[in-house]
Amino acid sequence: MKKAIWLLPLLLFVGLAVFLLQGLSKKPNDLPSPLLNKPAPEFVLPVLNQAGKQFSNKDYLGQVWLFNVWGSWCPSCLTEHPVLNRLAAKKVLPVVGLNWRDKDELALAWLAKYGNPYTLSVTDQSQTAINYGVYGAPETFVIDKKGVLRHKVVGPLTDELVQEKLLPLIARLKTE
Amino acid sequence: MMRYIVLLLLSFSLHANVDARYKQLTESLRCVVCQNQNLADSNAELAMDLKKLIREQLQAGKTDAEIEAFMVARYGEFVKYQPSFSGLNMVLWLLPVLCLGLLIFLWSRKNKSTDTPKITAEQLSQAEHLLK
Repeated sequence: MKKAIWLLPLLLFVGLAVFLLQGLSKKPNDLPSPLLNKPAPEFVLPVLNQAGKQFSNKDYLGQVWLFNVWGSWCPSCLTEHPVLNRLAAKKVLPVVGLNWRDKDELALAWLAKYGNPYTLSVTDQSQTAINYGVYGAPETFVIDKKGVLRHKVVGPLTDELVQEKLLPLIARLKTE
Repeated sequence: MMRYIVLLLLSFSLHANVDARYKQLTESLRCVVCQNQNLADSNAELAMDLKKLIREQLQAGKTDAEIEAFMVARYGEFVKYQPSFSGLNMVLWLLPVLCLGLLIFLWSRKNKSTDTPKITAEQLSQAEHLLK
């Protein structure tokens, strides 16, 4: 019994080491969103390049859609852009852009230059982005037929992520 | 005249109150863009927007708890520098106390085991006899 007590520091050390080791493989930028599996925060925002037209998250009730936060000022959005273009070309679901903290003319020039994957983009200074818990562009949300936030990707989308995660998820949500 | 002075003073004190609470709140909330900085110290654009929003909410008469809840609902528990005493966080709060308890327990056990062994008066007199 006495010997067992002297083993305690070793056991504690091993426990701590294992705990810290698994922490190394975690990405500190991936914050769990408290909004997941809750109704997507509501918004009614002006549509980019369609004067006077507005879009609300409720307009797409009944379909699965993608909500992607972007800005012409955002270098990672440019990295992500070809992936989004390829995804949009598949025409599996509407892709709505949230043009965040941008100027319309800059945003339009950017889309003209790099291609426009968006069914439509809405413009927002920050209110809606904050309601969605956005802390950096790009961020992508998958919203289901009932208008519930089902998945969130922080940072640029990649082809692997789209193939392995998003497309299967979208296919499943469509059958729900 | 007097009425105006009172009103002026009142608005000043209200304003000062908002400022103090604004300072306290922005210092206790994390900037999610630069995660090791609080909102007060951060110049990130999103932090600026959030600070503006917090000031607006304070001026609209929201309580500190309401504003904190607003932030937590959007960005999660992570935005608070001081985690709340609930759920899994309980482990975080209680672990030091438990460790201290364990240490005290082990320490008291150790002391007990090195107590002088009990001997009878007869054994003692025998020992004294031998030492003479």
